[in-house]
Amino acid sequence: MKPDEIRARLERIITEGLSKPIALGDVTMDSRLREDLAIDSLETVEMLFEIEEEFGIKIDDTEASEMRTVRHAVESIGRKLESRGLS
Amino acid sequence: MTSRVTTRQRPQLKESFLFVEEGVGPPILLLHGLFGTLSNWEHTQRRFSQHYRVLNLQFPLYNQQFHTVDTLTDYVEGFVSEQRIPELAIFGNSLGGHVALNYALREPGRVRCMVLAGSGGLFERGFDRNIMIHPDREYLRKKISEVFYDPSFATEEQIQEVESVISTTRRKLSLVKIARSARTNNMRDQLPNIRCPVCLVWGREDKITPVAVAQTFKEKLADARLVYIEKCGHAPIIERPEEFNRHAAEFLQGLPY
Repeated sequence: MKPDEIRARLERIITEGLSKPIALGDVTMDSRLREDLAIDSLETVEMLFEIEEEFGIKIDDTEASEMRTVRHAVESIGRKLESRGLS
Repeated sequence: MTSRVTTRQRPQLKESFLFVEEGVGPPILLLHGLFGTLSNWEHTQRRFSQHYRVLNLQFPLYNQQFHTVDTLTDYVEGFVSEQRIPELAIFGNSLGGHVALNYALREPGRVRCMVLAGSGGLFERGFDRNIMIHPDREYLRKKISEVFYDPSFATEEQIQEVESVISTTRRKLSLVKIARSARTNNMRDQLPNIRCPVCLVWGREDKITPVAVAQTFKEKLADARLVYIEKCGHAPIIERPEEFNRHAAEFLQGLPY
């Protein structure tokens, strides 16, 4: 899966999949999840579970703690898919 | 007296109601918490079914249609309507208390009184920090221990039960969405509009909804009494069921109901 597609699907999760509304225009690759998008710890967990469901991958807690920006998340998802031969 | 487990289809939502019914008399609806099951109310159901019609309802926690406090309240509304219950008492623990309060706002004429233990609706600790997305057994043991004053209540059986509850990402996502909704749906400003008598039965050592939460409920609700159970945490119905039942029975008898 190409990074652009991962990004588009991740943006959809962030803007439509979470319980709180986040505008698409507010989401960039460099957006920091906590500081810029105001995604708190519970919402982060919600987002991670949505990512696992959407991409059919499992994110461990260490990887989750390293996803601080949208770019980190896209790269991490890409690596996961690649390791499973899904890229 | 025997109880019966029943599932009935709700036509509009294509959703079955899973509940246990026991006893004859004025109806009491029992609503469990977020990780709860019907067995949480085992002692209370047995005690009150001697004089009441007890309806112990299982929330559809893993059905995407019911991922908010409001939709769970829809579920309760549908159940009470289907059962054709004109007037009832509701006992709620944690999330069950939150849904009970929400239902009482919608159906003020139908809810005669409520008994709430460690109720949600104002503030809950537990999902706000250090959340593991793939928890190990030690983490689960620690989190379950926080529910009780006596950590020995975090038994292997309890841990296994929670492990089965969170066995899939979809299930975990369901619980997180409900927890998010519960946190968003703060009822502080609406509590004075709930006019029915409420008995707040609180564990003195509740770490999830601390005693300050109980005091705020008492101040905001129009007609509330507050009793504490010593050496008890967030789930008196499990940890100290005899005392919970005694307080609830005295409350109902005093109304009378």
